[in-house]
Amino acid sequence: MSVWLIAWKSIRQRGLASGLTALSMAIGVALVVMVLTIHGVVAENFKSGSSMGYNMIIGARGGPLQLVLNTVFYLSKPVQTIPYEYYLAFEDAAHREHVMRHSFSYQSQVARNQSRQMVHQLSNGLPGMGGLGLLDEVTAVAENDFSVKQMRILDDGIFSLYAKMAIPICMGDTYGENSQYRVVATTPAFFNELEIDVDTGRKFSFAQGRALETWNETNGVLEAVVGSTVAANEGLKIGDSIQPIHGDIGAGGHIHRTGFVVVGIMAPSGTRNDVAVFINIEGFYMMDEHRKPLEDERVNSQRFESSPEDDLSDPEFQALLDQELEQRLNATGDGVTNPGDLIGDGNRAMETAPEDTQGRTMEGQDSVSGADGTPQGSALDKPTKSKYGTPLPIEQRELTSILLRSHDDVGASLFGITNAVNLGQLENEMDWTAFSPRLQQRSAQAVTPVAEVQAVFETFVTPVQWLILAMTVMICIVSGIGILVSIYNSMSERRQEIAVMRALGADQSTVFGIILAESVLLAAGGGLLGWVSAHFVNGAISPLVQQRTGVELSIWDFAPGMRFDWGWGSFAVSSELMLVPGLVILAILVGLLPAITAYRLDVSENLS
Amino acid sequence: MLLLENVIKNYRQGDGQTLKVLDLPSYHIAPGEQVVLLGPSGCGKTTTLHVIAGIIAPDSGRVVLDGLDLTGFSQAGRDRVRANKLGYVFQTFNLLKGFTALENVLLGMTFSNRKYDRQRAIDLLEQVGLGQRLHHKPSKMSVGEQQRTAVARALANRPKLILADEPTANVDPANQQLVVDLIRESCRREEIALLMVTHNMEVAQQFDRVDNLAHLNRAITEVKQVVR
Repeated sequence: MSVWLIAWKSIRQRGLASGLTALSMAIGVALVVMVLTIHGVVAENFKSGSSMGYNMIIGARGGPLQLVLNTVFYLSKPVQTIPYEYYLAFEDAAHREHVMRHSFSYQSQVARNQSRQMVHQLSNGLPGMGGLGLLDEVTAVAENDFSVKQMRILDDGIFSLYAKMAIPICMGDTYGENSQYRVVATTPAFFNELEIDVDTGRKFSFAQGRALETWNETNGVLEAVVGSTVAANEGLKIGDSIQPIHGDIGAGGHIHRTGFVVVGIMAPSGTRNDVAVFINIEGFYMMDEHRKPLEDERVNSQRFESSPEDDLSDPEFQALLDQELEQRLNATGDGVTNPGDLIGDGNRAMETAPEDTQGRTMEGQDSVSGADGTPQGSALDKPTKSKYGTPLPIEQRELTSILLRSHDDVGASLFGITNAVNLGQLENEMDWTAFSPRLQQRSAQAVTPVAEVQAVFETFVTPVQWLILAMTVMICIVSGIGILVSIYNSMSERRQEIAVMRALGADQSTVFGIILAESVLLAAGGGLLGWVSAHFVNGAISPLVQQRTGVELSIWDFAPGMRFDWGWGSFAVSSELMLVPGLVILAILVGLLPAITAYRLDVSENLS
Repeated sequence: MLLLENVIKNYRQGDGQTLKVLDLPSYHIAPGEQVVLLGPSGCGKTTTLHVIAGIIAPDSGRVVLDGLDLTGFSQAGRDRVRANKLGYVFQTFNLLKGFTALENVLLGMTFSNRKYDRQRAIDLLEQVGLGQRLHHKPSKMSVGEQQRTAVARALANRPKLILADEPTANVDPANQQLVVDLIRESCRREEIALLMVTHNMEVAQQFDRVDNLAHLNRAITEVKQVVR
């Protein structure tokens, strides 16, 4: 009969007292393990989320932390907006040219040239007016060139050299019965270029369907991709239609009339993106109240492809959107849009576009590939025109933030962007168009999310970690004292038993070992019970945690490891895995006192 | 088998004075011999048993058990000798409450160097008439059954000597003779020497050799002489 079995028998003999002692230990350990696990997983998620493929966020000036919370974690209240032109400052010439030709500024210039050419043609028909016509033509071309040069349409953005990747983000809409999910309007680059694990280059993956895509013959702009949690909680599947809520439904928001077809369901990423809904930014701009009104009266006097008079409450326009959605829903029965099912024909809108100063048609410009989902291609077979397909002029666009990845993490490009944005260079030197709201919302800030999150950790989380550690130690000590009290109290009634064992030949070290074994069994048993219980509870509350935080917590999640470095290498051990051995060591320590009492027991006195 | 020579044991009293409780010039038991040790309360019977068992060490003198001189042995050494060569039957049985009858008997061989023999434990319990009570705990057994279990436990490690400290004191009269017979018969069968302490003269008269410790212990006789 081993020492362990004798100890176990002794524990069973005092079942109630031993059970309660082990239970208190189990509750303490379960509490600590749960806190360690949940805190660890959330903290890791928080940290990894802050370094997810981009190292800088540009947004409206204000609290940098709020910008990070809002952009990275979809938490906190939405921040102010920044002009779309800021985004273009980080893009290359091809993309800028494509987008900026849809600006009011450029189109107004073209319209003016057309007017001048008409006057010139008329003047050429009059005797003696030939010289004047030539002058007008020269002037018109010069002015047109001036506009192009002023807007630097053909150049790279002034900070494009710094940026390896720039992704625009628009927020403000929500989804869900309680507006619990943020709607994030972005470009396909969010899925195609963003790496959720920089080390491995891993990008978002999809459980079903596909990512948002640039507008083409198969993909419209009224498309949505939903995070795994959203899909699971809301029962969404490919082909479903969702209607974002403008603002918060609990704070006066209303449901948009524009519907988006779900084309993709993301695989769980373990990030806050699992609780978000992503829509094409071009579709976002199509929705009512998402167009920034222009105060400049000059706009109203010009003829544009897309004019500010485009009122989304216009029944004709709304009918087009409804028709688009209807057809897409019919076409995506299998979850994938079939070629030829398109309706939105933004490129066709350019069919009637005037020639620009370089002799290219707007349709020709649209063939330039853009990463922002603006229409491209050249389907000129039908004369019909859809307002829907016309990209919103940049002057009417706003962004919540820009996700940036600089060419390096600590070098010139990161500091270059930071300085440029935070010192006002972006506002002062960037390529504003004639209609850009230069007096409004010009204050931007560049924030490094990792640094902000690190600051939060140092300010709040690290002290909390110490608090948890202190709690852990205290709970362990209290549990250990519980064991000590339990065993020590039992010693008075066990003196005779120990004396009998001694009389039967057990030596002092054996009875010492029996008492220590009892202490260890109580600690290990209680600790193991608490540890297992904690993981079962974690598994049980996982849906709640995921719903509230977007963090995936499973029964198998362990607290993050503590790294140990030795001469021959380093290894990491989960802190919770060290808890039970730690408790055993504590049990040995607290078991020493009763064990020594047993060791020193006067057998002769206690036998009778 | 057992030899005690000039064994003296003193106890320190509360006032710092020492009190001699045992002074045995010579005492021995032959192998397989069955002896009753009589004496009034306080004459040192239990102390004598504890010295023989190595539970306490004498202040002087020799204790030789089965050829082993315990004089120079440490506490751990005496414990080992006790575990391998001695069986103990107590007045209050001293069965461990959390253990079944079988486990209590197994405990008797746990601390010895012998092979852990479960079958022997079962056989012993069957021999004392508890074959149907193997898995019963002491609280579920009668007083007589408890003492029989204690006897089986004392035999478990195949000892050379069994020390029985008033084994019938807490047993009802009907069972007293049964217990004595059981102990004596078992010792006879296993060729184990027996030293039984008892106040019961009926029991004592059944033994060939009856020693009165009051006459053997010089610590007592000297006190008597002083009193006279």
